[in-house]
Amino acid sequence: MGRWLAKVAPGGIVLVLLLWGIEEAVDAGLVKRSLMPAPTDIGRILWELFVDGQVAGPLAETLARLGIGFAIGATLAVIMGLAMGYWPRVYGLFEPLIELLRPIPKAALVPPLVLFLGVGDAMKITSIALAVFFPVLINTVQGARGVDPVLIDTARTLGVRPLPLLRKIILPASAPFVFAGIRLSIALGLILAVISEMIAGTGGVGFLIIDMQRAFRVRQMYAWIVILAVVGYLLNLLILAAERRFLFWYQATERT
Amino acid sequence: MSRSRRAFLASIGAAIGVSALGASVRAQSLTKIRVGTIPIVDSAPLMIGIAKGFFRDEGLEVDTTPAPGGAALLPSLAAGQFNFAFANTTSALLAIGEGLEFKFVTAGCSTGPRGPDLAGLMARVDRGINSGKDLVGKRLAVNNRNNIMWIRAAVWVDRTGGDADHVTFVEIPFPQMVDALVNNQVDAAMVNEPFLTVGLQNHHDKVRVVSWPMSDTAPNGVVSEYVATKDYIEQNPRVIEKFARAFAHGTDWVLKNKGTPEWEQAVSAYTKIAPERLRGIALPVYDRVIEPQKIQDMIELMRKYKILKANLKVADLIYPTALKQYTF
Amino acid sequence: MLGRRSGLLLIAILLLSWEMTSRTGLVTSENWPPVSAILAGLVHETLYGDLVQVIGATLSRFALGYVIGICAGVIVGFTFALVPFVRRMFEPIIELLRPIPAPALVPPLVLFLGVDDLMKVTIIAVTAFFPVAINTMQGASGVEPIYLAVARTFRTGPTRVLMKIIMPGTLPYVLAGMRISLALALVVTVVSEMIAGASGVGYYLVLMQYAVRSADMYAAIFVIAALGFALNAAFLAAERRLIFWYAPVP
Repeated sequence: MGRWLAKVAPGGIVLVLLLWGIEEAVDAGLVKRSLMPAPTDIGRILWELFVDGQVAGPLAETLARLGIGFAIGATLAVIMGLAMGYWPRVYGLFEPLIELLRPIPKAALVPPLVLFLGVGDAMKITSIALAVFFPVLINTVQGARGVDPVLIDTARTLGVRPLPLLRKIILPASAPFVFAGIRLSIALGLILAVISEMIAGTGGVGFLIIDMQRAFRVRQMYAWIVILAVVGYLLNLLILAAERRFLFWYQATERT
Repeated sequence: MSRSRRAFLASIGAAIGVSALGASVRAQSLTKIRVGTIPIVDSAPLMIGIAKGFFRDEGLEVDTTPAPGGAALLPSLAAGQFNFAFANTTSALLAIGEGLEFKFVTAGCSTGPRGPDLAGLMARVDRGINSGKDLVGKRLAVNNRNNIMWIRAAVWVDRTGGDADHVTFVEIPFPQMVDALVNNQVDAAMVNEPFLTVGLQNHHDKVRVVSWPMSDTAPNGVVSEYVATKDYIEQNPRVIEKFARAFAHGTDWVLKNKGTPEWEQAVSAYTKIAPERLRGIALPVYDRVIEPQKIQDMIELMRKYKILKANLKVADLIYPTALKQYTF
Repeated sequence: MLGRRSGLLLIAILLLSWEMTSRTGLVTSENWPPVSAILAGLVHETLYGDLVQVIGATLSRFALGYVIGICAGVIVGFTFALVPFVRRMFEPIIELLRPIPAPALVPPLVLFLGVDDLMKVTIIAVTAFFPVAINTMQGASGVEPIYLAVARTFRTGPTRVLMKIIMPGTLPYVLAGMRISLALALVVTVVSEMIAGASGVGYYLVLMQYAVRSADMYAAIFVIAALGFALNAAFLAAERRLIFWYAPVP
């Protein structure tokens, strides 16, 4: 208990100091209340939102989209990443296309996305899947390519066929990289979920943030931003915990 | 050094000094202002006014910061990043209602007495949407909720047998609206120019204009103005007057030259819309002054639709420069 | 390399099908112009328009934000790894700020930093900061304990330990972080220009979209893709050179 407190205390203290500082600045009139509300005001709105049960719905919507988009994007990325990492021909076929598509912000892809996928969940989930796809793909490829060649050769000499080889040897060996990619992609996926809701739609956390902004209900906007930040933080902790469970045998001393 | 040479050098030095001083005086006499605007046809009086030097004539050097949409402009104005900002009436009143201290300093645009308008309600030809009643339980696309497009569309729905509370308003950016409509993602869309005309051209067999909610529900209704913060106005009344006069000059030019090739070139220059496209589209009405009653109408409408709680007093909101008639 | 060529062929085939679907009217939309129109627009705007300036504006903003971000990331990453107390102080705030997407951050940032380059460069730097900081921290903390133990046995001074053991060991991680930051920073540069821009490729993209010039809008997208591709390739080449004479860690 004391250990946990020692770990969490410094960060918590800095956070509290920061919030207190903002509160004082707003009260002293240094910052316009209509633009940057006092943290206590935001807190009050947060409390009301929770008490009225208004948080669950939009949050569930956004997280559901994120979940589905992530599942699709990550699965495709791992499959493709392993294939690209193992077969140089596959790598050469897809690499130029991927390197060209990667830099394009999904927000810039809105016109073709809306044209072909509409304005509903299909478009949003695709945007999320796209955002998740690239980091996981790149990391998986890196991991797959970095597997000890001796290991692969030995397996091949022993007659292991490509698919079981990929599944049983290369995938586990790439796991640390894949997880690093997953952690990054969850963050990006959440961002895209929010952005796609901001661009077109009727619901979700992103939609509410932009809706409140346009209605100039600044306190509500910040309340939802806080909810978003906390959700992202918790998701990150979740992934870290999962990573630790799956990789407990991977020491920091391991080098590819 | 000989006397004559010294005198010569001195006179050159003096000449340089005087001209430098003159240049700096001239440079200092231009007040720099920042205006947040949107590069659309509605901003013609400002943008063309700047291009033609009307603002420079008043001693103002204008730095325009174009934003892709009006949403970011008002908070930036409140934060002091701009001195003036273009805003649609509904958003401006919303902001004021939430405590941002803006005032209207010049007029902007209005709709005409009847359609075609700067925005129309479009629907697919084969869906049988003819009135608000047909839209109950259906999806209507607007670019943003809580702005003028949304409220006029809602009023139209209510007035034509429907119930705006039972229509799902889907937010879609203007450039994507026709695509969404053609693909049945929405049942109707409040599309503005130039996307309206372009959409009709591309899909003439599939979509049509059902109505012109803006002029149908509020003929000659106000659409937009330019606003500034109360603090800035109090600290710089002369600048406001100069801005208003230069702006009025711009409006004057636009009203006299609307539709001419010169106007097309001028508007094309800042919107980047091809001049040919500008020919067919419906234009807004450029106002010379704000009519207080129209703002009052909007306030009452917004209160009726429960998006404005504060009982705003029109007289407090309009700065005298917005009411003044200028002649050129 | 044979593979590379097939990759380019794939791209060509995809572009061709785009052209076909647009020209035959299979997909009719203002937002689906033929590829030929896009390329024509690209050439025209580069030669006669201000596309070059536009790209220059984006690149300069990007470069500034990126460099600041990665420098800050490396410094903070090492600090967090070597002084765990500092890490515990600031990590929660950083982890809370990270998930907030740029469009949501813009309104508060505009308050304090305006709508100009200062705000954009800040967002870019902040975006570039995170991957580098996290990777550096991970790399620096993960240095082989045995190397550190040996150093301690020989009573090597802390600076030498830092320079000769920790830094080379961390280098691959730092570089990986920098590469991730490169892609993210470019994206954020363009997005910030799209939201609050008056110059740059992002703003140009939105301007063209609202001017009903979708071919030019897609041209901007092509430019962004090309920029990202080129920057990534340049980074990889530089990385190879750096690793080569810095010597890889066993």
